[in-house]
Amino acid sequence: MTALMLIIFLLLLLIGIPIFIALLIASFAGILYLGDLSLLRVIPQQFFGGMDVFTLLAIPLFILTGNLMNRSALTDKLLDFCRVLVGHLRGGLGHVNVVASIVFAGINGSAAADASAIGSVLIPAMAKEGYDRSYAAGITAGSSLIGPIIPPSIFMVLYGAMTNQPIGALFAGGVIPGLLLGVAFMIMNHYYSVKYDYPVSNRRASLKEITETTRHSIVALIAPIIIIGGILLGIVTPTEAGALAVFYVAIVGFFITKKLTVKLFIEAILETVRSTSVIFVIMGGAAALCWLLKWEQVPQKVAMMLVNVSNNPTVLMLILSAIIFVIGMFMEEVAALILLTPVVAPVAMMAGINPIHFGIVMTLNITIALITPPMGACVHIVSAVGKVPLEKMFKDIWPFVGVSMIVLLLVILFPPLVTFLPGILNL
Amino acid sequence: MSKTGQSIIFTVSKNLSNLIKHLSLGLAGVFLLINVVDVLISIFFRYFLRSSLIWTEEVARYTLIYAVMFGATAALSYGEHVHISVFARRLPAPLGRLVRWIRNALITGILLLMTYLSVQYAKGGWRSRTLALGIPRAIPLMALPIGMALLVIQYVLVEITRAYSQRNEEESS
Repeated sequence: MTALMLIIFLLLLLIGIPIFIALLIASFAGILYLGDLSLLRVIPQQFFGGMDVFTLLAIPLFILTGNLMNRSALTDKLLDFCRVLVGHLRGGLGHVNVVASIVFAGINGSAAADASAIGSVLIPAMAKEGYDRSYAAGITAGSSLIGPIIPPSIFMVLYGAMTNQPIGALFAGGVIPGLLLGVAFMIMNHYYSVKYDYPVSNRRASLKEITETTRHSIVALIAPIIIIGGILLGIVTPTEAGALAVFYVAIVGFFITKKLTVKLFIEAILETVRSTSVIFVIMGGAAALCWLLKWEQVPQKVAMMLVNVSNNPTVLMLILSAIIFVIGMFMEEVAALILLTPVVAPVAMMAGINPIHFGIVMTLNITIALITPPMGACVHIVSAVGKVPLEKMFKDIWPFVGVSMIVLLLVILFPPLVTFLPGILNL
Repeated sequence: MSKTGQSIIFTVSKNLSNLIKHLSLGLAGVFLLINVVDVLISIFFRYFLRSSLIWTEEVARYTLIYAVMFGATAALSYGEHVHISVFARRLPAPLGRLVRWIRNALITGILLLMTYLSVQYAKGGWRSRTLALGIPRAIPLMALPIGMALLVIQYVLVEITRAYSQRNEEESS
């Protein structure tokens, strides 16, 4: 039955049927095959249940925060701050790009928002200073990957909701790997800047200038502190942190930067509700199909099969990562995460891999898919905002994929990079 | 069917689908707004007044489901649901038409089936009540049949509009 459902599902995708509907049709086909029509009532039950999960409440809030931030001109303030911080280094704007993504990551849970907000400002600025346009777009796409790794993270909420893992622990686990990504891209930027003689963008700022700029951009810097600090210290739940961030960004946008208007606010809400729906209906459809797969004990069977290949956790994680990488190249990332988690997470648990460690490996893996051609969303975004032809971008993005793969490998090989922080924070 | 008959159907479905698009998006937005305000109220009571409200969690969960089910129709109208169009678009014309018919039949069929099944599911919810709000469980469950019915209506309208304007283009070229 599983093979039948899988073939039907893939065929449906190929003829252009939306994923959530393909999931429903495949579930229906599975039930027809089993011949027990009374099981049909399970489909709406699971569809509803898959969406009615308390932790998922954080998702629209994280998306809304990002949408409001971009309309409140908070990004500009962040960039000013990063400029005085690292603008004086060789390849200054490249470093600004990475550091801005790190700070941005603490407010926003999605890479796409990061790539479009930072890219639209920095790619033209970098090109003007003599950087190769596709390099500027590449580093924007690459560093945008930090977004879903440093908390908050939409991917982690989805993973946590599906595997019943605490979101707080996942968030804490992402901090070091996220910073590691940042460091890796800064090293890469340094190497390229020396090689191609990319310019220094600012002179070194005096202490006075740094304090002055910090004071001006403080409104933008408080947001990540509320969110990350609040969640990691266990003061607020991820959902509450999301709501506070929305509230904060809205207040700043309306009354401090004064860039947010009621019209823009409504626009942000409507954009958020559409993106949220797209994710949630896939969650619903996947819940229906997964119920059938569990009924047939598919996750256990897959787990047994893979554990027979190797029961070494590291080898298993490498195999799973390779599978996720390939699937991620061809499938939209949220969908890939929702479809793969229920199948691969049990494999990891059975092999004794720490579920938080695996969660971060999986999240990082899916995140990297955002910059792999041909489907990677962030490559498409930077190609559009940076005005670089897509074909050129597809070629020039690979060094950035390579660097993030090295970070992924480090995270797989050294579990404490993930487990250390949740451990000391008792999450 | 006569030309005028076709053009009336086209105009009606185009206007109706536009109406559904804006209505569903607006309703989804209102539910999301209630959802955000509700979470903020719960934080305010928990941290500042030191007393947790018991109903806020249910309100948050249910408003989000309504937001999602209306939003799904809006996303459909904007063509935003995740799908892979690369292969279907490259098919030669006759095969492409056949595939489109199969796709339309399958999507309409499953959405109709889902509407029927979720009506049955929601009906069962009149007998039990939710824990905190004490409302019949059918009220949140109704989001499903309403959403599914809207989706199928909107899908059919969008396809009629698209098919008609495509034929007009072909004729004029």
